[in-house]
Amino acid sequence: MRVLLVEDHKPLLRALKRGLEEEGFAVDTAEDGEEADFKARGAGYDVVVLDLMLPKVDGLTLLRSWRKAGINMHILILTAKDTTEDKVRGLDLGADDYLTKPFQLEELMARLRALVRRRHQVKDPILRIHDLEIDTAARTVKRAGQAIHLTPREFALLQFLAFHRGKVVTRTMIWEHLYDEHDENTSNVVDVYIRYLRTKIDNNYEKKLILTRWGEGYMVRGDEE
Amino acid sequence: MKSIRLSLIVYFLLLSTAALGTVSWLSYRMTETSLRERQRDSEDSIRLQSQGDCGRVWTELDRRLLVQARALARSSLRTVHYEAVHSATAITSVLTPFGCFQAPLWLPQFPKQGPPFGNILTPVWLAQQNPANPAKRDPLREPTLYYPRFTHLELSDDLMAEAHKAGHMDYFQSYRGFDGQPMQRSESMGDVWFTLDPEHHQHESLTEKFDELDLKPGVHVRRVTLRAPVSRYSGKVFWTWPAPPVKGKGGKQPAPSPRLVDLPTPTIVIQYASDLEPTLKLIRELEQKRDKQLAELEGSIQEHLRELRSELAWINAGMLAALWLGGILLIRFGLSPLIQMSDAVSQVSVKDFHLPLDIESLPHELQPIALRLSELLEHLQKAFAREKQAAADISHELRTPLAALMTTLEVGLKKDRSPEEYREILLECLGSGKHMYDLVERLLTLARLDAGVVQYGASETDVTELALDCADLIRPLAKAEGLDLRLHLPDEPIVTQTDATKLREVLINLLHNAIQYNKPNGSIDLVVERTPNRVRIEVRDTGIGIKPEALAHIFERFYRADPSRHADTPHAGLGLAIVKSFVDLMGGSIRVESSDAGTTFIVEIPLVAPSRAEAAPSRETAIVAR
Repeated sequence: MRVLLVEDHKPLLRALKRGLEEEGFAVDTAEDGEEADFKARGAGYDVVVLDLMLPKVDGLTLLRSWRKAGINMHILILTAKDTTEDKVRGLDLGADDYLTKPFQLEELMARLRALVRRRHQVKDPILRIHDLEIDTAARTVKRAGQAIHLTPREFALLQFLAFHRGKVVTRTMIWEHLYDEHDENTSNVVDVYIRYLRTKIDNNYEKKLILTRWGEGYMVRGDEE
Repeated sequence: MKSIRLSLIVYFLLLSTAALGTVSWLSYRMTETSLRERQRDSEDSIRLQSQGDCGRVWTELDRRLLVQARALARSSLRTVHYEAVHSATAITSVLTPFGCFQAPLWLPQFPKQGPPFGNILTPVWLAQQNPANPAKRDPLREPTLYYPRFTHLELSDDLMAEAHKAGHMDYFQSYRGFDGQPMQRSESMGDVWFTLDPEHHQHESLTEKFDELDLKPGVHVRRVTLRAPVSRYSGKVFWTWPAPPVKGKGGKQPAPSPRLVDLPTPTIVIQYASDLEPTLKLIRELEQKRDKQLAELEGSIQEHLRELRSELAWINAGMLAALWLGGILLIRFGLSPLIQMSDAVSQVSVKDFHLPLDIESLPHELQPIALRLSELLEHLQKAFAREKQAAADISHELRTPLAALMTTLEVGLKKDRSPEEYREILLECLGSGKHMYDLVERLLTLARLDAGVVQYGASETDVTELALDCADLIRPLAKAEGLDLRLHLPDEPIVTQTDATKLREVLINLLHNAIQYNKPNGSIDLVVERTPNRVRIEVRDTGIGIKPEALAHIFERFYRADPSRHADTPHAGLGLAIVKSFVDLMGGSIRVESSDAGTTFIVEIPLVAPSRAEAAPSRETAIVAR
């Protein structure tokens, strides 16, 4: 899942980026309002973590202009402003969630995961595809009751495919949602990760869940197939 | 009294009552005085009238006495003349049918010496002077003194009318000559005799003399003594008498003819007296009448005054009632702006500082108060807002680095890491800690400044050298930002008595600001120069400048021209507030000039250390900042 972190306090930005990346998020950062606006309009982020007091353009202005422009990414406001009025104003301007500093990293992660599920219209945190179970909360994967260890990026890829199960996911889509701005876009990086996933998920099983649609992309087998 | 309204009402009523009372008293006094004056006038006139009346009574009495006396005198004179004429003409009693008659019965005491009463014709004739035509008779000139009654004479009613009516008597007596030979006397005299004072009547011959005397016990009379005849007749009189009757029947009586006869005219002294009792009674009545009138006058005056008093009482009561009512209404009306204001003030609360009052509609006297109050409230509201903002700002400023610290630690603890990674994370934490430490330090500094516990340690300081030090300290930062730091320092040292630590803090802060708000590739100028008794330090940058509306606030705490923050700067809008407080403490001044070409901060500090009192931070700054 690709996240845009908008935060002007550099230590916090660095810590958050590290934390989110270790959870498998692809994280882009912006340190001021202008940069955030530019990035948000350029790429499709799943979630934006937005601070309100920002240099140049403040968070609420950004939020208003994005919503007005029809940009419908999920936005979580992460700010030190903790009054009810601030929260009400933020949410009423179109934010999806509001978290005040200081916060527990776990809570932020859980809220982000919830936002991601909401984005894919999924309520159950456990995605079940045939005998594959993906626990998006605990970030564990089981196949036929057997735990499979995945790296964060592999997990993110599997989760992304699972959210779109039964539908073809193009390489560009995968690229856009799972890789941040600093990752080098080499043509086969997605294919490499797909291969890793197949090795872990499908190799030992009869029924292959990760399918290749030649010329289009990949997909996870749907329920009917 | 605590209540303005009550005290106003009481004072107003006391005043109005006093005024009303005074006016009433004065008008009463004036009316009374004028009434009394009129009363005195009326009394005088009543007295005068009464006096006049009494005088008239006396005069009337005297006139009557005189008239009677004169009539009596004439009568006596005629008697004498008659006798004289008759004796001269020798026509005597032979012809008189009543010759045998003695003297009249009412004059029995007249001594029978000579003929005075011998001829009864005399009085009869006198009495019948004009009997046929009484209307023609002038009672004053010719009073009928006697009238015949059978064989004797009786006093005329005319003469005695008043006396008789009053039930008392007149008294008279006449003397022929001064030798006291009595001629006539009234029956009423009884056995009392008037005495004669020949001395007086011989010398004061022509004047009548009035006197009063006790005639007899219980009878007090007024008497007139008169001498007849008057001298101008000098013994000669015209005497008209009837011709002697002619003997024989049918013969005509000859017509009486006046004839001048030289007659002996003896002096006749008449004393006529009248009982004073009726006169005194009359006088008494008059006096009673006068006293009654006076009493009536006094009564009417009293009545007038009583009416006046009751009128005044009613008027006063009415006026007082009106004043009470009017006063209370007036005071209520007058105090209504105060009440309005107090209502308005009571509506002011921590949540709403607005004074719900139209100041323009207030009376002039209250306008300054309301204006000042609303200004104060505005200040207070701002101070509240600022305090609220400050609390929010402090929490915000502390929360962000705290969040960074916690997040860094949480991320670090999430999994096992290499020592390098841990080191990196720990350094991050240290950075956040330092950031918070800086912030807390600044807050504490401001708190200490507010509390007045910041020590001002003046020592000999070379400002030039200090500026140089600061520039050296800041130069690497400027270089990192690509800025050109230029120094304009004097060649010789400028030695002052000041707190070097605080001055250093001020300079570093200003230079930091100059770096922070500069344009890329801009420059910073640090100027130090000496004015007659001050040191002037200028820090000039080539930044975007400060908006005019922000200039007034930049020394306030947590105020930031740009509400957003620059990452990584422990700035928080406290730096300039501290700078200002420090400069105040040093007895100096700081001001700022700004345009779109850059901003210049100008600090001036005195060459000698300020006294303790001057050094105290200005209270206003402290309040505004708080």
